[in-house]
Amino acid sequence: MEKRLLMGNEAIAWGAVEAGVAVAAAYPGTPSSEVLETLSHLAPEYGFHAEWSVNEKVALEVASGAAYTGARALAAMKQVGLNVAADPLMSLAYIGIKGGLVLVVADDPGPHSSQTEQDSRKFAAFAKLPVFDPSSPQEAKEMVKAAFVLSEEFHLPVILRPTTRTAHMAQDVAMETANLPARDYRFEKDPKWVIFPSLSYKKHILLNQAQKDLAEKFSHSPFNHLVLNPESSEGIVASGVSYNYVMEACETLGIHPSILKIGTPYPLPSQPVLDLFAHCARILVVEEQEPVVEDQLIQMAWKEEAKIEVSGKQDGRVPREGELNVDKVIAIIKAFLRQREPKDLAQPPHAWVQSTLGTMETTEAASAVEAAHEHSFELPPLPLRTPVLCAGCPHRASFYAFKEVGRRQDAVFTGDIGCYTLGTIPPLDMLDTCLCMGAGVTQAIGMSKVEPGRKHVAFIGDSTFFHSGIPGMINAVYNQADITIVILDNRTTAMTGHQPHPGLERTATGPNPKAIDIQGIVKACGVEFVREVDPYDLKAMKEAAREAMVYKGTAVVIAKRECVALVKPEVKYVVDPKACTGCELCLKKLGCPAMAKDKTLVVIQDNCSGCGICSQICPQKAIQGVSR
Amino acid sequence: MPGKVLNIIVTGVGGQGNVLASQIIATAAVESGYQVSVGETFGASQRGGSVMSHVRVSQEKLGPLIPRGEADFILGFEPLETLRTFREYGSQKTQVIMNVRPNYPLGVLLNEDKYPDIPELTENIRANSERVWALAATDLAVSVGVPVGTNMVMTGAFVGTHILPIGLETYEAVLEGLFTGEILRLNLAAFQAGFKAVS
Repeated sequence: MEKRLLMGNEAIAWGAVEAGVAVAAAYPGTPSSEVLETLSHLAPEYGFHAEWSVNEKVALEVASGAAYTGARALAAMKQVGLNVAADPLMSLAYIGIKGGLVLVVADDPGPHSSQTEQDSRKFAAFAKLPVFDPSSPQEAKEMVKAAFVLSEEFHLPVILRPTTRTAHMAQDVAMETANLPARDYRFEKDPKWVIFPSLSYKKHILLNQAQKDLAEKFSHSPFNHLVLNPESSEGIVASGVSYNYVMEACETLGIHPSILKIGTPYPLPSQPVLDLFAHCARILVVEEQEPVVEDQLIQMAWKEEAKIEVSGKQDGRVPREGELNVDKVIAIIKAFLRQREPKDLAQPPHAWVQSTLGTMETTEAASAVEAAHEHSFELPPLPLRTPVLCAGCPHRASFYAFKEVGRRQDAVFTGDIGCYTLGTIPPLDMLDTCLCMGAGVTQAIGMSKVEPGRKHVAFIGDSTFFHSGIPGMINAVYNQADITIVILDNRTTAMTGHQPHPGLERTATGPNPKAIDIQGIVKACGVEFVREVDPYDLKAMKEAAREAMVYKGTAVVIAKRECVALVKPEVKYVVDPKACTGCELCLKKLGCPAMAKDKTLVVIQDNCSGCGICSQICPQKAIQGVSR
Repeated sequence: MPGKVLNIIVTGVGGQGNVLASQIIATAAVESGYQVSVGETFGASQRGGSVMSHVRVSQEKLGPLIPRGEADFILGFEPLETLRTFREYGSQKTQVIMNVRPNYPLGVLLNEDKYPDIPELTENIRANSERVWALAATDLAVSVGVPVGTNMVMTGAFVGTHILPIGLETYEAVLEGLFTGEILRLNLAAFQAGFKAVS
């Protein structure tokens, strides 16, 4: 069998192709973006539809529509994207589907590039839907295929939840034959597709019954794997990527407890857990994020009156925040083994299950685990290297213009999700808020209603504008908000890897003959003050900013300039050492990574991409463009 | 290979091409029948932040993250990032190839932080590791006419150490699968320059 080096997200995409997926839809978001990225490359060859949808709710609804016809469909998003798609998800659990519907939700413990560390396994349990938790790319691929089969068997959407490390880990993966989707799908009309309250009640009963059947089904799933050691009275349960860490930690420590690997954390498979109970007096549950497996296991121990000591998040052994790794798991297991004092197993089981709850603050556990890592000697700190806006990023120019115009006015600058969130870093220091997709515009509206004397300026990217900015802008016009909206239109979805959006001439798989004009939308929504400016023209940009901020009512400035990562620069800028006085204004105001101080003068390095903003602000006119 | 696992870390600054370097090393190892796990950082860290790829070549399946102090090899595209990674993952048994060309973080450019003295930094790593190759990889890339080829020079240098028993031709075949035409020629030139520099 051919083996290929695949990233977890690529393996998920290939799993869908091997399962004969007919429709795949997603909105980009780290760490999930490569799922649809890969599918969009494979779609033409394997004859299925792949799309970047405008947001996650749309993506899940598109996929579910296809699944209603009997086709296999996949939707992919990051964990906070599921918040946006929560509405269709909750109802789909009741209504059900016909063709397999797999929802890939990538979680981001750490978090590496997210607003929250929310656990989508908990979301699955809330929606009463089964969830798979892959530990490796190979397993992720197999799980996608199993998820389609399970989805069709139970007529329910099935969630696949990789975490960042599984989504972005690359491993050698065995490839199998791809299946082309059939062509004869047809939506059959039936009242069962219309969610009336009376139908919901009946469906809810069925959904509740399915929980038990799913737990039973998962008892025989190959993704849950129990290795009993009859010599040991201790067991470790590990879910998803943590399984790797547990195995490596046990090898390092030279210990051989019974190990239960969980690949289907909700509903928890009953049989292997009961088998583990029969052999163990003490169980450690190792999982990232929330105690999803652990809480179900404690419930099961209570119900079975099993005399087991359960350790994990609830007794503060395993941190609830951040990621796990081998070092942390070694520290956790060592602490678990140290507390091997004989428990009074004569006392009623209920009492001691209770006693394991909430005995220690989780943050305390986290710091104890962290402390285990600290070097025994002090080293001087190294300069930090945080991400920055690229040299020549058009957002820097837009921020600078609004900063200059707004600084005497005590304006508030609300922000949003994207590369431009980096505008909050000094010296630009521009964004005062960042909450979630679309909230920059709407929070500015709320503030403007209680701070009437103050100017509120909302920054939003082009892709975010299509995702959830338009309803906020309509709300501003409708409710007569006196705010300025700045659409930072860099012609791409940059942060997640340059995916297209409806304003561009291409789709996920080909050309888009009907690119939607942002200015046209803004005008159609009733905004009367609209200016489209090139942010590299600092004078024009400042003028537009000034006019917009004076204007009474909703004003929109579209700062349109393609992302520097997508263009080849034709010019670069150089400092004339004779003219430069070393005032450092350019350096201190822009924070451009192409500019550096060389002794007393400023120099521009080779990563200059020719935006020319430094040249426009230099009081000595000492910076000039030269062709590359 | 010294043990049953070889833990390699490719480290640098977002945008230097360390993901491609780790991909080439990992693909060649898969082609040679090893089990490989690569752990990467994406997202916000791409925009000029510190980045690291963990490449684990072994006879058995392993998780994506190398434990602290367990790196056998560090391929550092930038001195400060090499030191940062070495402090956390390096030990007396670690071998290091370091590109000596600095890339200054914003705090240093703004004169708020001090960049470590490079000869001192190199000696510091040398004293605490098994071996260090301090390589002018960026200059070498420029000298063979591929100014953006630092990552290929570094990848070639890694291959030149022969720490993995995988032949040069396997890596070259991987490059031939990734690139064509002039781009392939340039990448191969940079790769071979790095290979020769340490062989």
